[in-house]
Formats: sequence, C-alpha cells, structure tokens
Amino acid sequence: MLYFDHAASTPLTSKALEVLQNSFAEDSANPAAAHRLGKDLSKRIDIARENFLKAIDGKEQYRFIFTGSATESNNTIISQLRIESSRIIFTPSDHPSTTGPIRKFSTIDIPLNNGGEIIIEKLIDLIDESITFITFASVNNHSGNLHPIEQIAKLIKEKNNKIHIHIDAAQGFAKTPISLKNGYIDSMTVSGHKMGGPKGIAGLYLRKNISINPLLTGGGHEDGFRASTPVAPLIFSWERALIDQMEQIDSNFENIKRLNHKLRDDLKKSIDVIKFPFSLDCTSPYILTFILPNVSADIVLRHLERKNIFVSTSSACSSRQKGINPVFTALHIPNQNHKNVLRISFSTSLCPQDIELFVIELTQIYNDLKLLF
Amino acid sequence: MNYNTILVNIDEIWMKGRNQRSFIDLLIKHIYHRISANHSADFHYRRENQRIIIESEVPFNQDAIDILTKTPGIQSIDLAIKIPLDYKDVLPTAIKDLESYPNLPKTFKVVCTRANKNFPMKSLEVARDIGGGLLKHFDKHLQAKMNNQELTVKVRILDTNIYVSSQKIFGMGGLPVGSSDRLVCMLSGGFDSPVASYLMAKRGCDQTFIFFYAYPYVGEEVQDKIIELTKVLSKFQRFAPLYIVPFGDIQKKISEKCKASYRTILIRKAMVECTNILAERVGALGILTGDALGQVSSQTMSSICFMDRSTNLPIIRPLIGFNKEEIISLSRKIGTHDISVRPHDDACALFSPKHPATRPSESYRDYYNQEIDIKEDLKIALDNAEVVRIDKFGKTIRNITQKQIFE
Repeated sequence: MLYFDHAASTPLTSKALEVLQNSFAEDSANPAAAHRLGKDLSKRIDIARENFLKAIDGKEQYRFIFTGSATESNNTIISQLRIESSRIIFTPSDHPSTTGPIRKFSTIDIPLNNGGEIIIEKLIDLIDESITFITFASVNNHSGNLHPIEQIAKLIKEKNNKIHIHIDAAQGFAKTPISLKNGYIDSMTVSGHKMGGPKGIAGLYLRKNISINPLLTGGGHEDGFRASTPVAPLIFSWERALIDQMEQIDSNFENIKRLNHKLRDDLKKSIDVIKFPFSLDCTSPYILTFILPNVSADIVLRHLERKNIFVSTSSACSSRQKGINPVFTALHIPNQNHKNVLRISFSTSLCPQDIELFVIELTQIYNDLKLLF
Repeated sequence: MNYNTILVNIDEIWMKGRNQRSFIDLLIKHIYHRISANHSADFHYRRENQRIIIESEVPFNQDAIDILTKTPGIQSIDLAIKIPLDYKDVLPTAIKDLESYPNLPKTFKVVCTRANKNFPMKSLEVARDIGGGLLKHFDKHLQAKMNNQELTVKVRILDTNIYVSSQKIFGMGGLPVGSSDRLVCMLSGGFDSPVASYLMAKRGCDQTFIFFYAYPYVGEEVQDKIIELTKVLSKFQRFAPLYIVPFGDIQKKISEKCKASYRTILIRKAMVECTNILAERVGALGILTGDALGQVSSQTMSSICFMDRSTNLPIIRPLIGFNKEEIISLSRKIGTHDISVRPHDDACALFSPKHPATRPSESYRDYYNQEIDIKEDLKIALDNAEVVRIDKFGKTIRNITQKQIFE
C-alpha cells in the first residue's frame, strides 16, 4: 500500500504507538486526583507542556493548553469574538474549522496571488483601526503554501497592535520551523494526528496576557482554560512524536523536499499536461497539489485505490453537488479545473521507489482515462 | 377517531371470474405481509361479500392505513367502526365518528346497504332515520344533500355485524402483486425507471431490481441513492431484491473496442443482456425499463428496435408515450421525486460520446458481436453482484444469499 494522504492524517510513529500502549496500560489514574498516582501524572503532563512550549520558543510568553482537536482549538479562539464588535481578515482557502465559524462575521479576504502566496503589502494596506482579528494557516492544507508568519505578524502589529493574530499551524507544526519568541502572534493551533501523534489530542498556544472564556468549564482543568480530564496516554504519545520530529526537523524537511522535487519532475516527464500551480519555493514540501486536466480527480482517486494507492481530492466534491469549490476559487484555481485537483502529501516513511511506482500507476491510469474520455 | 376495522374494496374484481379466489388470495397475502409489519397487535381478516375485512381490538394507526394505499389491487378502503347487530348503537357511533373530524364538511348524505336480509329495517328507513338523527345532533352545521355531497356516511348491515364508516381513501387500484408475471426492472438513478416500476407494480407484476454499478467511474454514494429508491418502490411489492452488478470494467472494455458513437447504445445492450441472464435465473418473463420515446439518443425508435433484438424477452416500457412532465409529476406522487432529483455521478453520461448514433446499424452490430464477446464477463459480473433486500419493516439488509431473499 502507498499512502499519500498524510495531510489528512498520519499513522502513529512506532515509538509514539509504544508510548501510547504502555501509558494506556499503566497510567490509569486521574491526573486531578489528590493521591500520589494522580500527582505524578499531573507532573508528567506539565513536563510535556514544557516541551511543547520549548518547541516554539514560547516558555516565557505563552501558555499551552491541551485540547481534543485542532477544530476545538480554532473554535475556542473564534468563539471569543462578538459579531457587533468584530471585523475579521481571513482567507476562504483555509480549513473549515476556521472558515466555518467565521462565516457569520463581517470579513475581508486576505489577498493571495496566483501561486497562493499572501500579497503582504496589500494585506498591510487593509489593516486599519477597525480590524480586530486576523487568522490564517501557517501552511495551507490544500495548496501547501508556507507563509512567513512571524514577518507578517510583525508588520500587522506595527500598524495596529490591538489586532488579535491567530495562526492555524496544524500542517506546519514540527515540519516547518516556527518560533513565537517575538511574541507577535497571539494564539496558535497545533494538532497531534498531522505529525505522527495520536488522534484526539491537539493544542492551543495562547499569549499569557490574553484571557478567554473557555468552551468547556467545570473541572478547572488546564488552568481553567479547558475543563476535561486530560488524556495522559494521548499527551505522552504526542510528546514522544514531537521530540522525535523536532530532532530531525531540518533533515526531514530536506528529505521531503527531494521527494517532492522528484515527484514533480517525474510527473512532468510522463504527463506533459500536468500543472503545478503552487511552486516548491513558497510551499511546504510536505504537500503537493497538482491539476490533471481533462480527467475527473474522483475517478483517478478510485482507480488509484484499486491499486492500494491513497491520495486526496477535495472532500467537498465527491458526495455533494459537483460545482465550484470556494477554497479552490480563493486559491485562484480556474473553475474548469476544480474537478481535476489532486493532493499528495508526504511523510518520511516514503522513499524514492514509492514515488517511481506512483508515477507509473498514475500515468497508466491517466492514459487509460484520456482515451476513454 | 379510532378505527378498528378496515373494509378493503378490491379493484377490477368483476373481471376475474373463476380466478377470483386466487386473485383475492394473493391480495390477502400482501395485505397480511404489510399490516403485520405496521400494526403491533393481533388482527384478523376475512372475506365477506366480495370485500376483505380487516379487524383488530387495537385501532389501526396511520402507517397501517398508508401502506394499504400503496398495495396494488386495492381500489379503496373504508375506515370503519364495527358494532354488533344492534340498531340502537348506529347513531351514537356515527355521531362519534363525525365529531372526530377537525373540519366537518357541510353537506352529507347517509347511505345504507343491507346484505343481511333478516334485518328488521329496510335500507331507506335506516338512511332516513340516521340522517335525521345526525341533522338533529349537529344542528346548524350539517345540511342534507342528495347529490355531490361532501361526506357520505355509510351504514353497512352485514350478516354478523354493522359497519359505520364515513372516510373512504382511494388506493392504487390495479392487480395484486404476483397476479401477473415477474419482471426484472432496470433501475437507474433518474426519474423514469422508478415510475415505470410503480406502473407495473400496479398491474400486478412483482419485480426484481437490477442496478449497474460502474465503479470506479462512479463512487459508492450512488448505491445509497439507488437503495433509497428501492426502499420506496418496495412498498408497492412484497419482496424487492436489488442486484447491484459491478459494471465498470465491462463498460471500459466495450468503450475500448467499439466506435465512439456507439458507446452508449452498446453499453445499454450489455446491460439488457445481463438483465436477461438475471431474468432467467429468477424466473422473470420480461425486462422493465423507464424508456420514453425520444428523450435521449438511445431512445429513438431505431435504437429501441436495436435493443429489442438483443434479447428474447419482451422489454416492457410503460413510459413509452409519456412526456417528461408527466413522468416527473408521477414521481412526486409516488414519493421518488426528491430522491431522483439528487445529483449523482451518472456513468452513462460519463461515457457518452459527443455524437451518439441515433440510428444504429445492424451491420455494425454483427461486426461488433464478432469483435467482442462479453457473455462470460456478464455472467461473472452477475455472480459477483451484491444482493440487497428491504424487509417488510423497511430495513435494508445487504449481502444476502439467494435463499434469504424471500424470507
């Protein structure tokens, strides 16, 4: 089997799985309990918290709150906003867990160029006293665009330092370098299962001087920011994945970049009409989106799955009305190509031979379909 | 109002002569099958004076009443209250019945029929008496009218009981399921084939359904749509097995071998041939499709001739003379419209050429038959079909064996 859908979800690394299994077997106390078992667990969770803060240089200025999912983290921040008093800058090309809750507000779109990059001067021009909130992903989950979040945040704060800047780093965390040491970013979402950790655990970085009304209240957990018994096994497992990824973050990045580059080259050679709208210069190499003209991406996906090769098409298309996808429109993908978009996402478990096999299968499928249709 | 009795009036019964008995037997079987799934208490039925009478201690609910309107062979049902052969109870019962109406009509008439020749009063007497009693009770509200009355109160004096009723609900009419021969119905996700199925159910044809599943050219969601259509159509049948036949590879094979303009019609031809094989297996004597003349290129007269020559069995096309509007209107009436209207990947549209052949030639057919032999592929596809059944409670059961179909 060839799994190319890591942007949707990654398998647990073997070490993370081991930690998870052991912890579920041994760590069954409630971390809030008054006895030694509970207190020990609580201490270990705090150590994990420290590691997450260290990973983004945030120890002094930020707190880190464990949540159940990146969706929850995004919803937590957005639920603080009030319709009457908010003017929001966001991009419809981002993940539904931000674009969904934001829909009811008065919004302005972040200007993107044809390669999906944020046009920074135009964005800064949009900033004035009336703007209260801006959010975008550090790596876009559809195009892979990698945005210089610290640089952009600095420029925004210089123009209006009252704006709350929220970054969705679910795709970028532990894969691309992120540092919050300058404190321009107010809050940031990260996710466990996008980086070799388990599903069901995620996090929210929040600058210490910011207070919020929590979504979940009652037990006072997470310093009052998110009531629910913390799931120690999920936290420790994720921590393990984090430490391993951070150790290799640069070498992983280079390896993936090579794989991405190879895939682009090999595909271009076998299928000359293939289009790569988002350049390797401005994207995270972990995500590669391309357009296969004249064939339906859904049909290609189903042909690939028969060969046990798994890729991604836009989830909006398959089962509902086939039409224009607003995410693709925001990314400047032409309307007539919305049904031709495929996304490949990598992990370090893949190797060049996997790429070669994929290219062979995809080319065969493409040629068959081209003849038929 | 609580109706503990339903009088079932049978359609076309006068036509049946010597076959009446088996005809009514089939109808009773179907009614029993349906009521037992929709009525939680015991009930019994009997035949009396060319009617079927269904009775229960517990009043019949709306589901039981609805399902009878979807049972072919039933001309109408009267919702009645059964009382003993005692005249003094008739008026109070009629009053109670009319009082339960949220909007009582203004004009009415009482009709009495007396099959019991020993009963002391004559029909006209009863009608006048009850009519008078009702006028008195409802005072200003009701008005007696002999023609075009909005409400007819019926008092039926039978041998063992008296039945008082005022609500008549019309059913599908037609012939009971199973009284005509079995057909295999080719289902697509569109408006036409479900309506065709309904029309033939009404004429007593029980049906086996077949759907050609063109994965990987279409996704699994299309199966859900077809199963939902089958659920609606199964209400007009006793058993409605659905065969989902994997057809993607066959469609590809055909498209690779034939002229582009012939693709649609040759794929349809393969579907008909496969349906033929299924018909032989399940003892069906005809193939049922939703073809209407001239709707698409494969439905010209010459295409129809071409298709008919691909099978020994008759292809029944009840919609052949219908306009699209008429079909859509019927689909609303039978409850398939909102399912059919949902968009889905249509494999036929996907493979259809820019310029389809509207007058397919027989000589090309002969050439094509030599070039490609898919008979084995069709048999294998049918062997690999998933069989889905909707049980009498409306539950979907998938991957069943042949034996389980008729349980």
